[in-house]
Amino acid sequence: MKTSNRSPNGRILRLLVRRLPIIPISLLMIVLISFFLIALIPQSTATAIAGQGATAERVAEINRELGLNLPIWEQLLRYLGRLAHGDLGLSFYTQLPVWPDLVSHLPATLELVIPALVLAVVLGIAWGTLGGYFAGRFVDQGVRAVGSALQAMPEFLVGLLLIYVVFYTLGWAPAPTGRLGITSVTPPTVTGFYTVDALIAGDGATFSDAVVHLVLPVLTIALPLSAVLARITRATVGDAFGGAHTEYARALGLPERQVVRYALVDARTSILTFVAACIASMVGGAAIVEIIFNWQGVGQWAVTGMTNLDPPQIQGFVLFSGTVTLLVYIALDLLSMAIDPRISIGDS
Amino acid sequence: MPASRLPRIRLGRWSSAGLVVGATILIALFLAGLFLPLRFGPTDLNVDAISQPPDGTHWFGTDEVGQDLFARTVRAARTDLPLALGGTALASVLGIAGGLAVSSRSRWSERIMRGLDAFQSLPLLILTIALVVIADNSLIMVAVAIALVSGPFYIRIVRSQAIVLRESRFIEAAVASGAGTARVMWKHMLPNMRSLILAQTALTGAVALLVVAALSFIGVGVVPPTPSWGAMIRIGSGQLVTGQWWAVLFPGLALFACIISFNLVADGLRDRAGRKRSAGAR
Amino acid sequence: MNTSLMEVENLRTTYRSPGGSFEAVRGVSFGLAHGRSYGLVGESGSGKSSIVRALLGLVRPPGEVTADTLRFDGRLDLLTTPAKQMRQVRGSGIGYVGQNPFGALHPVLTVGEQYHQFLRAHGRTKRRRESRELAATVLADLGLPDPEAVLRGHAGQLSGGMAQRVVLGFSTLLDPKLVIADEPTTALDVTVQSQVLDLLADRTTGAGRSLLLVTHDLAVVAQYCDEVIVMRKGHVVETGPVASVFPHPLHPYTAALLASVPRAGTAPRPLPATSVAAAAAGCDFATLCSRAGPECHDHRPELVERDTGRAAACHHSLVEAGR
Repeated sequence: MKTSNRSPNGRILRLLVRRLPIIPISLLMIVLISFFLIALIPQSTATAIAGQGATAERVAEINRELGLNLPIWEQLLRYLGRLAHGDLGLSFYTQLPVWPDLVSHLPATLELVIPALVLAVVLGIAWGTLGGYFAGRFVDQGVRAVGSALQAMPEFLVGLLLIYVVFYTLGWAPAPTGRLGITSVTPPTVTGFYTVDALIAGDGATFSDAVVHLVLPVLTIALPLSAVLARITRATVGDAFGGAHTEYARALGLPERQVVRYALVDARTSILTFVAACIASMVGGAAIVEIIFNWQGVGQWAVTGMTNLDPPQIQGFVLFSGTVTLLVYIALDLLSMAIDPRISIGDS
Repeated sequence: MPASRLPRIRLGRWSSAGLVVGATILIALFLAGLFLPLRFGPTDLNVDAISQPPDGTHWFGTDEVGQDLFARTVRAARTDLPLALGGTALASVLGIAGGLAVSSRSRWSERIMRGLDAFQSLPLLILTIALVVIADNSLIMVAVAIALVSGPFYIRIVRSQAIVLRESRFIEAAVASGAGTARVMWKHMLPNMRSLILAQTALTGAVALLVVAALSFIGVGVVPPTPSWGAMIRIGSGQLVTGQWWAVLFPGLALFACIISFNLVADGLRDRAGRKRSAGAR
Repeated sequence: MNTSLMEVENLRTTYRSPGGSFEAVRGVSFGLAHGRSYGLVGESGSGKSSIVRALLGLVRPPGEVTADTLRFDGRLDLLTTPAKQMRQVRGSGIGYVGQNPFGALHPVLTVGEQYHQFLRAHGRTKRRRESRELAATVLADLGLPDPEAVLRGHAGQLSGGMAQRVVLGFSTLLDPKLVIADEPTTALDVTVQSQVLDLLADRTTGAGRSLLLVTHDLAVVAQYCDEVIVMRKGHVVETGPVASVFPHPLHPYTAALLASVPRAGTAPRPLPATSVAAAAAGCDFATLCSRAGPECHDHRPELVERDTGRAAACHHSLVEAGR
C-alpha cells in the first residue's frame, strides 16, 4: 500500500489541527464585520434611525448611545468588551436584550427549517436521481421542466400560491397567521418547539394544530430548494451513471438497486456540499417565508431589525448567522473528509 | 470508443429556441412597460372601483385603493427591469474585474478568495435591507445590493475560467512574446470568455430581478405608489386570504415570465459556449 | 472447431439518436471454444468494445443489439435471457476486466465493500466476514502482499498494477467459464503490463477457462492467444489460429496490420490512413487495398472458410493468390 497509514481518522485529526486555528480568526472577522457595519456608517445615520422630524437632542442621544461620537478604536474596544461579557446590547426599539430575544425566536425557525430541509433533501435527491438514471428521456425532461419552473418562482410566490390553493380554495390548511390557531393554547415551554412541547404536555389537539400550521411554510421552503437540489443531483449522479464504474458495476452483475447506490455514493460529497450551503443560507433565507406566514422566527426578527435600522439587533444577527455558517462549513469539511477518500487535506 | 463516434444528440436547436423566446419576452415586456398606451394611469386612484375582479374595463382587476392592476403590472417593468439590469451591469463589472484580478495562483488571490468565502457566509440579502433603508430607499443602493449579493458568484465563475485560460498555450505564448498583463487580459482573455460572461450576465439578471422583487416585497427599495411587482404582490397578499387572487397572480406571472426568460437566455448562451468549447477541443 | 462456449452469428449493434443511427457492429460471426484464448484485434472504432458490451448484455438504450445467434455455454440465448438471469451470467458466467481499473473500481467505497456487494449479488454469502475471507484469499493468490489492507482501503490508494489485480480478482472469483478482457493493460505502466497479462493468462486458460482478449497490440496476441479475430469497421475480416494467421495472413488488411508492428531488423510500415468515405456496397478496405479490383468496390466479400479453422472476408486472399 502506498499510503496505508492514511486512515480516515488520522486524516480528520490532521484536518482538525489545520482548521482549528482558523476558527478564532474567522470569528474575529465576523465580529469586526458586525462592528464596522454600524461604526462606519455616517453620523447622519442617527437621523435615519430617529426618523424624520426627530429633535436634535434625540439624534445626539442616539449618537451618544451608539458611541458614534467616540474615536473608532474606543468604539471597537467598548464593543469587544461588551461581547466578552456575552452582552449584545439592548434593542433600540423594544428595549429587550438582543441575545435572549434572538434565542427566543430560534426554536420557531428551527421547527420550520429542519423539516423543510429534510423534505427538500429527500425530494431533491429522489428527483435528481430519477432524472440522472433516465438521462435524456421523458422522465428526465419532465423533472427538468418542473425544476426550472420552480426555480423561476420567488419563494413568496410559491408561498402565496400554496396559501391560495390549499388554504383558500381547498380549505385543507389553516390560515397563514402563525404557528398555532387562535383556539390553541401555547404549550408550556420546554424545547420551544410547539410540536415537541405539545407532545410533552400530552396535548394532542395542540400538537396536530402545530403540525397542520407547519405544512404550508415547510412546503414553501422545501419545493424551490428541492428543485435546485434536484438539478445538482441530476448533474452529479448523471455523471456517475455515465461513468466507467457504473458500467463496471453492471459488468459485475450487480443489481440495478446497487448500481444506483454506487452512483449516489459517488455523488454524495457534492450533494452534501450543496446541502450545507442550504443550511447556512436558511438562517436568513427563511425570512420571507416567515413573514408570509407570520412565523415570528429569527428571519422575521432580523428583517424587522433591518427595516428599523436597529443597530444592536443588526449586529446580533450578523454575529449569529456568521457563526452558524462558519460552524456548518467546518462540519461539512470534516464530514466530507470522513466519507470521501478522494479529498485530501492539501486540496482545501 | 463507439460512444464518441455517435452522432451528437442535437439539443442545440432547442436551446437556441429558448434563447430567442426568452429574449423576446424580456424585450416585449420592457417595450410594453415603456410605450404601451394605457387606459388608466398606474397611480390613478378610483374609489368607485376598489378590489374589482378582472373584467372588460380593468383587465387585471383593481387593488384595494382602486388602482388599475393592468396599468401597474405593465408599468412596473419600467422600474423593475432597468433596476435589475443596472444591478446586473454593476455585478458584471465587479465580477469581471474582480475575477480577472484574482485569477493568478498567488497567495494574495487565495487570501482574497477566503475573504470572499467569509463575506458570502453573511446573510447578504437581509443585510442589504439595512443598506437600502439607510440610503432612504435609493434605487442606486438597490443596484449596489444586487451587486453585493450576486457579485461574489460572478467573481468565482470568471476566476475559474480565467485560471484555466491563463494556463493554456496561447496565453502563455502571448505572455512569452512580451505582452503586458493588461493587454493579455483585454485582448486575449476577455474575448475568449465572452460566451461564459454573457451566460453569467443573463443568470445574474434573474438573480437581480429576484433581489429587486424580494426587497420591494419586504417594503424597501421601490416603494408605492411607484409600481413594482414585488410590492404589488405584498399588497395583494393581504387580500389573497379572502380570495382576491388577481392582485397577486398578474404581477407574479410577470415576475415569473421575466425570471424564466433570463434563465432560458442563460441556458441557451451556456449551451452555445459549451458547444463551442467541445468543438474547439476536437 | 468446438464452439460450444459462445456462438455468435450475424451480431449487430446499432446506436440510434434523433440525428441518425450508427452501426458499430455490422453482422459479426465467430465462435469461442472451451479453455482457449482469443485475441480480438482491430483499430479503435472497429467495434471491438461494442462486441464486448453486446456479449455482456450491457448495450443500453439508445443502443440496440440483434443477432441470429448469441448463445452462451450451449444453452443460454443471451438476447432473450431475462434481465435477472443475465445479471447472474455477468460476473459468475463471464468475468470482465476493463481498460482502466481506477475508472472501474468505485472511488469512494472500500475494495472490501465492493467485493462484499459482488459476492452478495451472486448469492455467495451475506456475511461480511466470509466475503472478506474469500476476497483476501483471491487477492493473495494474485500476488498482492497485504490483502487485508487492500480490502480496507480504496482504489485511489493502489498502484495501477495492484488495482488491475483487484479487478482480475473480481473477474475470476466466481469461476466463470469465460473472461473478457478489454485492453486490460493500456492504462498501466509498461513495467507491470506483462505481469498483469501473465496473471490473466494463468487465471484463465491456465485454469481451464476461455479468454477473449481485446487489444490492438498484435505482439500481445502472438504471445498470449491461441486464436485471433481481426476486425475492421464493424466487420470481422479474418479469423484463425495465431500460429498460422500471423506468418501467413489471408486478408490484405491483416497483412497491413502485421506489417505495421515494429520488429527487429525491418522497418515498420505505417497502416494506410482510414478513408472517411468507404465504398457503401463493397469492401471497406477496397479504397486502400493494392489488390482491389472492381468487384471489391461493388460486392462486400463474405467471411468464407478457407482452411482448417481459418476464414477471411476477401475476394483476393493472399495465400491463395500466392500459392
